[in-house]
Amino acid sequence: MSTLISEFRKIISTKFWWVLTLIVAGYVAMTDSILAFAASMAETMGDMGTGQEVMMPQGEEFALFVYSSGASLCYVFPAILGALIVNSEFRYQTITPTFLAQPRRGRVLIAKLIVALPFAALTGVVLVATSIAAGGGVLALTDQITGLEEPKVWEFFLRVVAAMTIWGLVGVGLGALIKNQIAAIVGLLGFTQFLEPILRLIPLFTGEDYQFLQYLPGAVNDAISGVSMYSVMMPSPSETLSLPIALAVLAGYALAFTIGGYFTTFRRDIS
Amino acid sequence: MRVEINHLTKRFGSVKAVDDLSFTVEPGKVTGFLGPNGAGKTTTLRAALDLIKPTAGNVTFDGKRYREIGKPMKQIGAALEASSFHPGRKAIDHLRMLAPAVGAKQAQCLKVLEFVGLADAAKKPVGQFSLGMRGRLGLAATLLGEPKVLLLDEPNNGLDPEGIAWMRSLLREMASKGCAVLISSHMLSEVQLAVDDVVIIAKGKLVHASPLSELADMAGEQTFVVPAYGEGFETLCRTRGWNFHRRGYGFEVVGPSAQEIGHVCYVEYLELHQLSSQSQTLESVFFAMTENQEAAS
Ligand SMILES: Nc1ncnc2c1ncn2[C@@H]1O[C@H](COP(=O)(O)OP(=O)(O)OP(=O)(O)O)[C@@H](O)[C@H]1O
Ligand SMILES: [Mg+2]
Repeated sequence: MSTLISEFRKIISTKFWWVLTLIVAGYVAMTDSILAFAASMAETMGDMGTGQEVMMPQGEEFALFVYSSGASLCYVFPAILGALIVNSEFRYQTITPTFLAQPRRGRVLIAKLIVALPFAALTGVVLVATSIAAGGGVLALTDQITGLEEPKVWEFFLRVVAAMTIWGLVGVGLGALIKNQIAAIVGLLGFTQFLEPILRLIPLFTGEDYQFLQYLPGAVNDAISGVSMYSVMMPSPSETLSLPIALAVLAGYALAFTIGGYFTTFRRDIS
Repeated sequence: MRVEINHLTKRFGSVKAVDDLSFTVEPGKVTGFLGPNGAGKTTTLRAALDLIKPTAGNVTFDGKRYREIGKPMKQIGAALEASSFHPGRKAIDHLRMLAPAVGAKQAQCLKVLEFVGLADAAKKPVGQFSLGMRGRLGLAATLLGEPKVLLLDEPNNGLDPEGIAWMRSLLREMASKGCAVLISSHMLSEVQLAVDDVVIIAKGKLVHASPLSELADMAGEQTFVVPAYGEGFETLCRTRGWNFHRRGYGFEVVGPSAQEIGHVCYVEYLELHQLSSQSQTLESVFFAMTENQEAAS
């Protein structure tokens, strides 16, 4: 218990948790409102005489599409938050006093996982609130359907918070596995923002479906939230995991990274 | 609480940072843990605190390993390098983050901060602290749990003369309350006034352990020798186990009298150009001891 309180105080006495939460809010406010606004322009201007049939969802499906635009990218922020909870201790060597206070290192790692939960969940809640305010606000102002009375939309919001929360745990595990702060964050961003999107586009060119693609972290994230930018972009949306399986897979990533980190970083000499 | 270092060995790759080191830190005494840079002082302390895993041997506190002590910070206060702080965290928050481990409240955190002279800096981020202030904050953290053992790595680092005097009186007071205190330093003169016992290491090996007074007795007996052939004389010192320290063309030899040296050289057919008794400082005894150990390895 005392280790938990220590870990909680460590987070709130630094800035990164609210800085990352603010970034989520800013990012979502931007993407959601731009998308909602652009749609209203497109509607008033018609199809701009190109004669092309644009495959755009309608009504509350479109509202969901707007809300998901931030969500399908913002999961990296709770992951960075989780990673920093571990990495900053090694970067500034505060891991020394931490292990002096609690020499049972496994307990420190478990405490970090537990305290990451509320902070990661907060990024999810802030994301949803911003989505409603910015995306919903612009949709309403431009006389489009906000979908805010639809249970389906609220289920989506709940799923997003769940996904963001588990991403916090994935981050803690990743931070434990990759001790170096810069390496951990570059690795996280590089994989999720660059490598994975490329991998997920492969079926578009080969025409084949690859089973492993649905287990990639970003695809799992989409499966949890239930709405994906990719499913809109792809001509034939590939299979996605069911919600319970997707939750389990993401939690599995967190668990595997954490165990890996425990047996490497947390077992090593601190000098 | 008695601290026992038992045949401690730690290798880093091919480097033996600590080599079969054994000594005891007695309760009620201040022990100076001395050795030149790289001697293995910090490594010994880290091994004692279960931060690094010894290659062999161990360190116990009243028979228990650090990790076997429940709430260890209530028994053992340890401060290592002065850099173990998050630069964005306020001083008071650094203590508040450690406080749950010893069951201390906010008032206790403020009290120790005031005690180490940082009351005015409580709300400042540690990134703005000077080296001496960081040292004081590290010390405040060790005192939070009112420990029975203090292990301090170079506690005088960055302190002004006033701070060093203050530190000395603090250590003496802790010892008089029955605390076992160990302070490391690479300068005997820096801790000479504060310690009861001295433990000297070099290259990871124990060179000398005794009360300070015994070390002081060894001072004053030093002979300055200028041999015709330095190498021959050096070999002689080694085989006889005399501690020596090269100075210029000559050798400062600690231990044997000038008479004894002269006699042995005569018997061994070693030509001497100069042989004179000198009085010697404590510091040069220390130098002679650590240098010999380094040359021998
Ligand atoms: N993590 C490490 N990896 C490799 N070698 C190390 C490591 N830590 C210490 N060493 C080596 O172990 C030896 C002892 O180092 P240590 O820091 O214990 O010395 P010290 O007595 O504290 O020196 P100083 O007075 O400079 O603080 C040195 O040769 C050092 O290079
Ligand atoms: Mg050192």
